[in-house]
Amino acid sequence: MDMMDQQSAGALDARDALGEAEQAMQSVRTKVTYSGVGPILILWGLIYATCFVITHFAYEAAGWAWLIGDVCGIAGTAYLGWVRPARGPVLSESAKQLGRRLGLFWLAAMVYIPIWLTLLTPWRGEQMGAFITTAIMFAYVVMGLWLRMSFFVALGVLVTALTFGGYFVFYPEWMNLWLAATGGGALLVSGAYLTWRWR
Amino acid sequence: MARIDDLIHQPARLQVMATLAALEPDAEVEFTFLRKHLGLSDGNLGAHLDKLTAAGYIRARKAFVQRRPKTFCRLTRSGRRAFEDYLDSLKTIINPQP
Repeated sequence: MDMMDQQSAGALDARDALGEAEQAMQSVRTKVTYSGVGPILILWGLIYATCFVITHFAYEAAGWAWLIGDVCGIAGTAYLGWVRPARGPVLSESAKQLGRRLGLFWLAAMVYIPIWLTLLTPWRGEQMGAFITTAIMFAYVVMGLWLRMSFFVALGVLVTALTFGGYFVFYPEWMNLWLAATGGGALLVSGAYLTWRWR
Repeated sequence: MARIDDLIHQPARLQVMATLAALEPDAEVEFTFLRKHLGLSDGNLGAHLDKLTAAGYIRARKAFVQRRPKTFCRLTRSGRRAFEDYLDSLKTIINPQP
């Protein structure tokens, strides 16, 4: 194999080459991670926003709306998170295993949150909405820290701050609409941004 | 004196190696994804991949996905080691040991 020494290094100097290599590595890691996540955020953003709006305007239909929304969200996430990547441009068994662990993490969250809600009953519906939103955002922050995905940490902290702040301003009359805008809106906007940025 | 691998020390091939090295060691990347991500033409990327494959740095696998032929590339163990050695050489040149 051709080798050459430092003097004949050619067009690229070592610092530029190292910078290009590091940038290329960071770029593909970010693209692979975030391009897959964007559609999942859009899906949950739509479900959140729709279900909170239904809860505000048609409270009697809220239970069914959330049940249907959650089932659609779980099925959609399974498709976007596991089925689609298996046919995607980057195949990796170890990445699949990480995906399975992430799936179990979210499954655990979905089991624990209703348990906490049952233990802490009675709640007003608006309080329950705020609690679920902040609990899920806590999971986002943990996942972001765990996977070193700063975007999720920032999103989790932002939505938590908006939800908590809104609780003192909009509770109870406008809380569901506030949650639709902050929880659903933030997920939708961030998902659309990630999908567009890393398409 | 630090020596640099001439095969990797070429802008397009450096991008290819860095892209594959950034992913999981067992990751396979589809040709079209690589071409779009790096902004290269079919022929250009193919020529660089051929050189890297001939050196044993990359292994290509052809497969049918949903009835469409696709080519997947992955870094071999020796390719990963060569890329790590290449980065070490650059760092040595930038910060030579006394």
